[in-house]
Amino acid sequence: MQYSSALLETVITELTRLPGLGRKSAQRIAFHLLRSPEGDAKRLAQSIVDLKAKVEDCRICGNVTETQPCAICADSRRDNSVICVVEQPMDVLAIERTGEFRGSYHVLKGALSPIDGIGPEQLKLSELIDRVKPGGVVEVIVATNPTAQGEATALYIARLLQNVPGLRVTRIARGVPMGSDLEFSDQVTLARALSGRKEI
Amino acid sequence: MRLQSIELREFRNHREARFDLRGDSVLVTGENGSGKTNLIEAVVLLSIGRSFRGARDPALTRRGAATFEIRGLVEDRLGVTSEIVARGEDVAVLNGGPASRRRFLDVALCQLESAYVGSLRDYTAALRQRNRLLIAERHGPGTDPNEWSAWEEILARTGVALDRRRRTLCAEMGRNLRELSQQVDPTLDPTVEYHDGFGDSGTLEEAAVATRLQLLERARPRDRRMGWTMNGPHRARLHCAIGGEELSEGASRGYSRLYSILLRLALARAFEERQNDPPVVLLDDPESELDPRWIGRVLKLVPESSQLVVTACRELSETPSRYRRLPIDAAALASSAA
Repeated sequence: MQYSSALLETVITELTRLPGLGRKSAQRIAFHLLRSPEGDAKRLAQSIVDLKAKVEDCRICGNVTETQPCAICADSRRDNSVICVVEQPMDVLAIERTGEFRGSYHVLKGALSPIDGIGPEQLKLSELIDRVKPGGVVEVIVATNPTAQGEATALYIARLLQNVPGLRVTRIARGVPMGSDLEFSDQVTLARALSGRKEI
Repeated sequence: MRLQSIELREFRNHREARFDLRGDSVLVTGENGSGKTNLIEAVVLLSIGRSFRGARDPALTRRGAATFEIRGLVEDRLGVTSEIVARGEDVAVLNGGPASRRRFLDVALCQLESAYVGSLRDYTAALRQRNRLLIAERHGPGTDPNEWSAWEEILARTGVALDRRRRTLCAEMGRNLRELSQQVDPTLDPTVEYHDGFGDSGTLEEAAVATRLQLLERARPRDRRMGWTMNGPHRARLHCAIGGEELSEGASRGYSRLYSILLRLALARAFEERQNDPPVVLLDDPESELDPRWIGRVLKLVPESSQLVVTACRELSETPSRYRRLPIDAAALASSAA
């Protein structure tokens, strides 16, 4: 359905291009913006403009940042000899929330998937080699997703870095969620946790 | 698992029907077209969420109705739901070529072994990705060898796991099949054998993975010419023979039908041995195409602890006395004159 206002129509069309938004939701948001105070809409618009203008990839780790290098790479208290490799910037947030990791990150911006046209060239892998080659890095922890694509990417990285002297390449373990009963955990996860068991 | 009752509303030809399935064994009788197979289909639908006829929801809904409803009451320990279905169409499944035979194994193993699901999923995903690499490289510049190896390592590792689990199940079924057939006719000699084309079952898992990795690497030029991965569990064959004849080649229809039921009962026994919970066994119209002298003996082969639901047009030529009779007309609360 077309609205009498071409501007309203434009906003709805733009909103439907966002992930997870259908036309119905886009209409609701557009009308909400139309009725909301002018300041609110302006702040939203300005923040989106700023986002595109000021946020970029960290030239070291590839994570999103407003400063060069990013806050994590610039933090002298963090251990730069350990690099945790992840697929997306959101994965950095997930690991940071654990508070368990004090090393640095490397964001690949995806995982190998020839079907989607993603080969090693499309990932931030040469940047990873550049970081590891000069020496000083003792461990690369591959924390890609436990999917076939994530596994293939992990295996690729292991092969890529196998000849770097003094470097250990490790893969995060697959396990059972905390606080849940074994009885209720999904069987595939449990089976994998069993095959990846370790001595205590 | 034990089925207590099944209620159908607007499902296939049943407007409203309630089947009381309590007790160990139930014989559902009714004329052709009275909805016996529809009842079996409903039970399977409830268990795996899909029709074994491959039908979509509109086809399952009674003509003129908007939605259908199936309610099943089960007495069950948590989590385990399994059943073995044997139908006339099963002969076609086994005769439908290597792919449908592999699917039969995959479906059984996904129910039996949780780890199998993960291996199968990863194998299938990696296979599609490698096949895409094969095609992509035919046109473009050479791909990084490490990229090939990454996918091939997943294929080798999960491939060995799939083949070993499939082979173990086939060995179990083969043993059961021999024992069961002895009680029907000692001369039948049915066999089920799994051939993966690698012959690495005797080697250690790690060694087998390493060998397959090399094989895949060496096969790259050939696979590239063909445009797809030519070796692996996705190409494995299940050999089914009875009376010395391969099912898809020389075996008679009667023998094929008997083999098909025996194989599923052999699987039911494997379920019974591996899980504490015996599967529900559903036999749809076993008398069709089956020599009447075999019926009584075949029915005795269902695991003692399993609940059995059999359908037939009328009383079987040898109906064991412990079976409770359930005429399908008696179940219909309001049946359409379909």
